Amino acid sequence: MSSFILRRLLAVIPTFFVVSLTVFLLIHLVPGDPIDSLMRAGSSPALREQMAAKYGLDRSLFEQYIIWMGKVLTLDFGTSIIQGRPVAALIAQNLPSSLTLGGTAFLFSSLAGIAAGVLAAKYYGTRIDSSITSGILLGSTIPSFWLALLLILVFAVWLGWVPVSGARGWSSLVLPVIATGLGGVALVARVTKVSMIEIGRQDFVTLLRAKGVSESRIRLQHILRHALVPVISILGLRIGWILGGAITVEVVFARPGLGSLLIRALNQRDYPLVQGCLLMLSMAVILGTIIGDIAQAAMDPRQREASK
Amino acid sequence: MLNQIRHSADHDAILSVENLSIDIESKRGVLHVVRGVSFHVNAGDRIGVVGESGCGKSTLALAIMRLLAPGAAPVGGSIQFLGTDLLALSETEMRRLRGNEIGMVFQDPAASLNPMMTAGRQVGETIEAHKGVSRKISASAAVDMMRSVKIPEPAVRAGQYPHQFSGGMRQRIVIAMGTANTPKLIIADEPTTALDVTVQAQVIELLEKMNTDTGSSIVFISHNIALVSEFCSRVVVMYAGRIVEEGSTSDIFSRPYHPYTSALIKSVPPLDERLADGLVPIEGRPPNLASKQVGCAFAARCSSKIEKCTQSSPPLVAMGPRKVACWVTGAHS
Ligand SMILES: Nc1ncnc2c1ncn2[C@@H]1O[C@H](COP(=O)(O)OP(=O)(O)OP(=O)(O)O)[C@@H](O)[C@H]1O
Ligand code: SF4
Ligand SMILES: [Mg+2]
Repeated sequence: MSSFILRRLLAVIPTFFVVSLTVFLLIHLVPGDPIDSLMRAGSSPALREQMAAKYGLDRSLFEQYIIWMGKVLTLDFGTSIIQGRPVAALIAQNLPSSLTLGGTAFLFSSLAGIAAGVLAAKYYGTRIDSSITSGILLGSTIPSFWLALLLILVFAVWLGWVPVSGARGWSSLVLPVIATGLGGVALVARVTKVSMIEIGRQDFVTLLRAKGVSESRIRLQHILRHALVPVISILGLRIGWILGGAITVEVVFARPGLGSLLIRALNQRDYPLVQGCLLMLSMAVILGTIIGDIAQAAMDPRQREASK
Repeated sequence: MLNQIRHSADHDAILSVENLSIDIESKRGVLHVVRGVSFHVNAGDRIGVVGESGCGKSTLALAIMRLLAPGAAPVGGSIQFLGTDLLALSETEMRRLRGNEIGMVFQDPAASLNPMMTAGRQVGETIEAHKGVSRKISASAAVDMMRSVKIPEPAVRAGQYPHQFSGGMRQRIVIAMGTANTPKLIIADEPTTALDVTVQAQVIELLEKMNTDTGSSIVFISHNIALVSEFCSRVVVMYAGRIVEEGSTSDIFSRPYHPYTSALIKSVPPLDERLADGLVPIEGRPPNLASKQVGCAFAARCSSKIEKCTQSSPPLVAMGPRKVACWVTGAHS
């Protein structure tokens, strides 16, 4: 198992370089010049060049990438052009808030999704199933920013149950978590339901009934355990999606976090900061997928064996 | 009064199936898969149910367990187990019987086990489901059970997963699971079909031992009449959802009456020698189960048929100690 984990982690290295190159190029291909937002109107071209040299913007793209990469590997993401602080520090400052939102939304997606899926599978073909299924359909089609606005309108503005925006206390987390996680709930519920129904048709389930094992035990101890294998790999892939959702949701709710940081940096063409944020987010997506893979392998004794 | 007489007459019957019919709703319409089947299993009996693939053997077994797939249901008749009508029991009452009073062993041991749970847990689960014992007690009982089905090093093997066992060992686990509570009736549906010949013999020996040690009655389902003749004292021959012949194994083997039984015996290789020489496959195919049968279901394939055979269906009638459903070779002739 540990060599399997090692192999999966080693496989990250090429992915990391591809991702970092993409992030780097993407930023340099979008039009706009960060020096513009830094210079006051009417500054001299000499000062302009001086600034460009200071941030290395006068060198070739390739050189810029090598220099940047060298620093990234020592966790030095450079200095924010606009805010004048190290990118690493800015990320570290905003990360906890994003992790709280992302983590809670992830937990919400998993638990609510699995519960809804188990219920829909248990009552397959009845009205309970069809209402859960239509809920799922609705949940998976609403974009999270739109859902966020809708939730704000209903629960914060009309009902006044929770604050409209900000990040003070747990109550301010409720709406962002729902907005971020609902799409995940829908997906997890759908995968759980489908795989529970499919596994419920396998022969070993008939044998469990022939042993006199109770239905609830068959469902939760046997079928669900199998059904969770695909659910977990979906959840691993979902980590990235949830982070993406968190970005827009953070902006809508005016919460501090990587998302808000990234959007601001983008507007200001703050290259180093944008690169740092994007790289962080991409790595989180890759790590999420790997964690999903490993968890999936750990759950299944056959894979555990094969991956020794 | 009449009831009492009947009751005393049947008093050793563990299982009585009376005039049972089962329909399956399929895409091709309603299939009449079991058509008025009656048979009895007495305490300690080893009764074989044989017939070609698709004649309704598994459907019959699952009906007794009340585990028919959705779409399949009894449409007539009764199944009495120790005097209680199984078809009238609630699902909870039925669950208490399954794995406890009636155990079942399935054909494919690879598909019968949960790949994600250890063998010991799966055997122990049968005990836990009925005896209300702690997990610790059921775990040690499971090891004992695995020892009794001759799994070497049962304490170690109990902690292993199904994929770590050979096919024969898996079938032993399946047998241990089905019989952990020493049920009064064991239904074994082709328990050896997926296994090679030497392992087959070991599994048969195991079932034999269970029958003699605990007195459990066994219904042994197989399409291999040679295997059934080795193991069973009585045989029920099924064709297209009906019983066409029933009697003691020695009678039926030495002198089959029904043309289908004779054909079946000729078509199956003897157990040990795999001589293909003397084998005569049965020509033709069983009838479509969707249609209502007029006349004998075997008529289209039968070389002894007479005019009457295509006009009305021969009932199963007693001929001394056995029963035959045939216009020519049965009691009608
Ligand atoms: N779920 C189902 N849907 C449609 N038809 C079915 C279903 N289950 C069984 N049948 C049909 O019912 C008939 C009897 O099937 P059954 O499995 O009882 O036969 P069997 O005697 O056990 O055969 P085998 O020796 O192949 O196991 C077959 O013709 C089969 O095609
Ligand atoms: S009843 Fe007629 S067709 Fe049927 S088995 Fe007997 S002889 Fe053959
Ligand atoms: Mg069968």
